[in-house]
Amino acid sequence: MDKNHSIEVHDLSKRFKLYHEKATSLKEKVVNFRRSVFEEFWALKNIDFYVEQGETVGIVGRNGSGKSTLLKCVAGILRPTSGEVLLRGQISSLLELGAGFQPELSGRDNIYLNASLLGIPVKEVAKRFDDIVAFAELEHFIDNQVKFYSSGMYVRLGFAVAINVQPDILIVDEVLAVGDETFQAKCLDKIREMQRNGTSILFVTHSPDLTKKVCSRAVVLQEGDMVFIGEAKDAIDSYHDIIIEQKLLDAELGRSSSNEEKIISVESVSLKSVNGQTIDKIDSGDSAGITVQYKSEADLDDCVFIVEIQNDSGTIVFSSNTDSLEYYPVIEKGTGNISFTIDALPLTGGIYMANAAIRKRGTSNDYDRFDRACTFKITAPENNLGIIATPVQVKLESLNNTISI
Amino acid sequence: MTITDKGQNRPIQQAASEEATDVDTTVMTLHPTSSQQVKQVSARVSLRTKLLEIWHSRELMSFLVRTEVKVKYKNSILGFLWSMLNPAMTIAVYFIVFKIIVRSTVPRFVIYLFAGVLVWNLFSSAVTSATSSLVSNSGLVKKVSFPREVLPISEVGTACVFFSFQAIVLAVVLAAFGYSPAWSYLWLLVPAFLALIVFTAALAVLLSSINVYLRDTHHLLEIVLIAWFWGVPIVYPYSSAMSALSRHGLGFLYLMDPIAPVVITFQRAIYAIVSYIPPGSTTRVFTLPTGGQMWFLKLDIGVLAGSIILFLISLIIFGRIEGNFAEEL
Repeated sequence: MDKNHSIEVHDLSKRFKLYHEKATSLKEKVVNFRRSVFEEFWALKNIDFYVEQGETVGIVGRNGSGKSTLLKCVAGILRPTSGEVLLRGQISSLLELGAGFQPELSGRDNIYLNASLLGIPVKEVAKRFDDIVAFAELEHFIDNQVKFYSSGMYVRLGFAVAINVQPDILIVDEVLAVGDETFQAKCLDKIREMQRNGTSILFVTHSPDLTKKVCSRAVVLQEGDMVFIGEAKDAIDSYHDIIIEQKLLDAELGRSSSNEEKIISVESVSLKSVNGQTIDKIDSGDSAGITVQYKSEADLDDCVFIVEIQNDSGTIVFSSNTDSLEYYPVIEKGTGNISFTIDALPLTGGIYMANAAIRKRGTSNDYDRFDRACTFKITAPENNLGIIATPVQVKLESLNNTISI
Repeated sequence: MTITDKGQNRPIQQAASEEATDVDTTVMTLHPTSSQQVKQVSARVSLRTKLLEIWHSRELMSFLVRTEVKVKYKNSILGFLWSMLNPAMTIAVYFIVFKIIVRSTVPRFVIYLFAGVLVWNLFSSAVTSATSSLVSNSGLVKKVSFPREVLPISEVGTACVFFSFQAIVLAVVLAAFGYSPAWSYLWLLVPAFLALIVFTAALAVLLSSINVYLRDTHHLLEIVLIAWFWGVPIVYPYSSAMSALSRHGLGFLYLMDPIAPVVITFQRAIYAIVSYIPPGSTTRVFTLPTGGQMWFLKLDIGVLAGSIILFLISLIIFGRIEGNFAEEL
């Protein structure tokens, strides 16, 4: 193992057996003997990377890409099918906060129990006990049984233990999504402090922003393959490309799921460039068109067409409809297109999705709605955080000389 | 996916991975790298690593035992007394049935029963709770990384705690009635107890891992334990069973049961009455084997040696299948 590396993952593969119906009793095992049908499923294939001392590496990928499996293999919860993981130093993992808590015991006892599950000697815990309690903000409740804790207290205590034991390696899975915003900010501060102190961190999150903020490098997983490793912002870029490639899969999920025959339905939604071509990538600030194709079973004059653009955390960043544009389309039976032309989309770089709906005027009932019907990527030159990207000027003005006596 | 296409296409773009990160090199000294232990996670774990892991988890095991003991009777009014009531009831029932109804002539029958029940309770309660320990702690197994053997082994530890409470009660009973144990045999309790612990731990580790895959194990065990209980001289005297078996040349089989030598050692040391003359009779009746200390020691050492081998085999089996525990639970 290289002495500058904290984590080395060598040619790691993990196979799961997917049983169609898993026999867990002896009778079933005997009855199903030789018929135990399973498919092999490689959750991870030949993963190979390392984490340097003090470095933070993110893991990004869609659901089911193997992120959690990889994390569990590194944490030693799952054994790989082949390959190996080498880890140097004390490991602490934030896979599920408070997983080792015994509800009948007091917070105090649970701190010791949980720390010893992480392999930390009692003496060490005793030294940091006050820090842990203070971080969890549980000074008044530390001798209460954990079963009386609120879920927030529970999670805070779990986080406090895992993070205050000064691990050399920290494995974090999505846990920053819990707790109130103040606590989240506190956790992030703590993670940054650990980064400064040389803790190596392996980090899984669904938030591309957080990955860019926290990680120096990132690994992109797709169906168990490591398709990219490199700087965090390039990794997010590559991850977004994967999403675009697979957008059709997502689109079907957004269909409003009513079985009844629709009078008018949204057939498709597409992003158009200025010259009318269907595209899936535009530059931030460019103008673009959104075209909604409908199919109508009757002649209608009470349709309101709505288009929305949402970012990858589900926030609607743009919305418009025909009524507000004072455009009242008269629909004839058959199919047709309604096109919205947007002068500029000054959004930060990332993945966006377009939703379309057709509403009956004067009601809140949709004739039809098709969410995430179209996925596209916006590329912005720099500053990738926040929601909007727009040119900014900055200047320095010293006030020292202007103070006159 | 099949194995064959696994190694082939690996579209990995190795980009910028060689770049050094912008971590201040001065803070590196806070975490001196060279001295730190390297942990390896791979498909196979050597037996030596396993044993070391268990050794390093002593503190964790003591915490788990303490938790278990604390929590077990937490919200009950009688609390710890419950751990006494179970053996007390067993002893009372057998005493009534065998002493009063069947009119057994064995003297100090309560002490005889107590010595055997003490051993049996440790064994059966530890193995029963250990077998389901991985399944009932599935939350831990799925989410936290620690040597999983610790769970069944600490169940044995918990049973030892209750064993010691009961042993104290037995000592008090002996003192109260003024019965003296066989002092010269008392030291044999040490090898016997060790043999018992190792054997129990071996079964605990083995059965807990099998139970993850075959949930029947737990139910099957309960039935086997009922039969096993009567296969060990706890309620009836060793000698009567032995003489019956010896007539068919099967006496050796009786001592093949690893629990039997432990039980008779405890009885020899604590109960101490090897033979007696029943009232109204002139023939001497034997209850316990007549062998000396060395005879008992050899038996116990035999069990201990066998148990150590079984324990190592259990660990190997456990190690082979534990990689999938988190998926199976």
